[in-house]
Amino acid sequence: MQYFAHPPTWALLIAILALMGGLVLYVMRLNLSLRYSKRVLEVEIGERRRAEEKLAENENRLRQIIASEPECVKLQTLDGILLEMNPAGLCLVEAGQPNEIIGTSVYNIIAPEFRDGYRALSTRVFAGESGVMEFQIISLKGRRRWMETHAVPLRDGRNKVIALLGITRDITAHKHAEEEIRLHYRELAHASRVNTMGEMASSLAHELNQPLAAIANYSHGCLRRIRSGAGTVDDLTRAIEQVCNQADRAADIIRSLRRFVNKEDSPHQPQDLQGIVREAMLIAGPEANMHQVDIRLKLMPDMPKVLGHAIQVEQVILNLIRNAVEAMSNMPPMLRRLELRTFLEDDMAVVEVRDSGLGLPRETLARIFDPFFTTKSTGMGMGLPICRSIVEAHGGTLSAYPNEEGCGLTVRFTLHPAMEEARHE
Amino acid sequence: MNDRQTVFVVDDDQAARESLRWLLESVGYHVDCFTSALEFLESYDGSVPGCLVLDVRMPGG
Repeated sequence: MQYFAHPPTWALLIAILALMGGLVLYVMRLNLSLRYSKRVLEVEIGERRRAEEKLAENENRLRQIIASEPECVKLQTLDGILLEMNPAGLCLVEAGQPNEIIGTSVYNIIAPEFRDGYRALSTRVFAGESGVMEFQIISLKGRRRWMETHAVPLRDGRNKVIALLGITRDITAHKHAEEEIRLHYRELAHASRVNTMGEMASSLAHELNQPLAAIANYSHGCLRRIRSGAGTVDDLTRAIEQVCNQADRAADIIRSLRRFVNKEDSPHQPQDLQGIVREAMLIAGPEANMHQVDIRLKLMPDMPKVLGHAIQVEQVILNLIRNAVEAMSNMPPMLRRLELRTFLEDDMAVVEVRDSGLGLPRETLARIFDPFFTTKSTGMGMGLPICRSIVEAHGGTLSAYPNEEGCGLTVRFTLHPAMEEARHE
Repeated sequence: MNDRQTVFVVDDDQAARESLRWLLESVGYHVDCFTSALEFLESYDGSVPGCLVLDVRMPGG
């Protein structure tokens, strides 16, 4: 056992033992710390799993919301390639399966006349704007439907626009209802014009009688001179020229009347306001004359064209003139003055009819645009309400107020100059 | 016919006025035309016999 007795050996043994003890302690500590780390990791994994579950649940919820959304929700690229579309959208375009439409271009279903407009909207959305547009589609089964879409940019985390998000609904029924209303309103306006003509029959007959009487006078005068051999060729020629002029005058009146009571609207397009005023004066002038009203026209030279239906605008002007003439029937003839002005104000064309009558009390003035309200013994009370709907359908306003000077009434309406419209489109 | 017999035509419509003149002259009357009642009254001195053809409901009446 001298082997153990040797001191350096002891020392070595003790050192080894100490080292081993230290090692054991170290491993134990390491173990503890590992266990701790494991617990931390487990907690973290649990949290992450819960977060992932929550995320999946959120996404699922969003998907369900989008899927059950009754309006079409879609994502598309700048070129119009459809990335996603919910079931309502598939139903709208009459696609049986998503793959019939996803990955194809929206321009395949947008009706050709709306494609340029839709392209402009897409470009705007990818530039970061949002927009609304009404357009027609032709569904996969070939049906035309009216759509209204709200398009907004969809951005990624770095705020870059990655898709167009469109929420679209079918407004076909709404459009048909609008059309129905428009038709009714057109019929009402037409009925009102026919009615006006009926009321003006006597003054119009008188107006038509003027040229006819003149033609009769000239013709009889010619015959007498020819039979007696008294007329020179020059005199007779001049008289026959007058016959022609008066026949043209009568034809003009009849043409105006026929145009006015025509059921068909003139197209909605830029119109010469002066021309419309002249046409209205051709019909309303005789009545004003009969009532000994002095009409003064102050038409703005170089008035830009206005946008609208010529006959309807004429109908409004004619109505306002007739109201003004009637409003002055109790005034002495010397004081019956009607001023019709056209001018521009705040970028709108204004037509203003001012009478020199007694005006209306405030409470009456407030009601003159109400249907069936009338101050006349023989009125229906539909003239001004129809005028107001016509003007409003043209995007203008019709208003009435007491004259600044004197006691009569001023009624005016506004119309969009045609330039305005061109700039908007 | 007596050429001192004058027909006075008062009418604001030029065609009516001028055509009546043409017709009445063909029968040999002397015709004087006026565009308004006022114009006629201002020029008529009451001494010339004649006939008055007057339009109704003219402005300025």
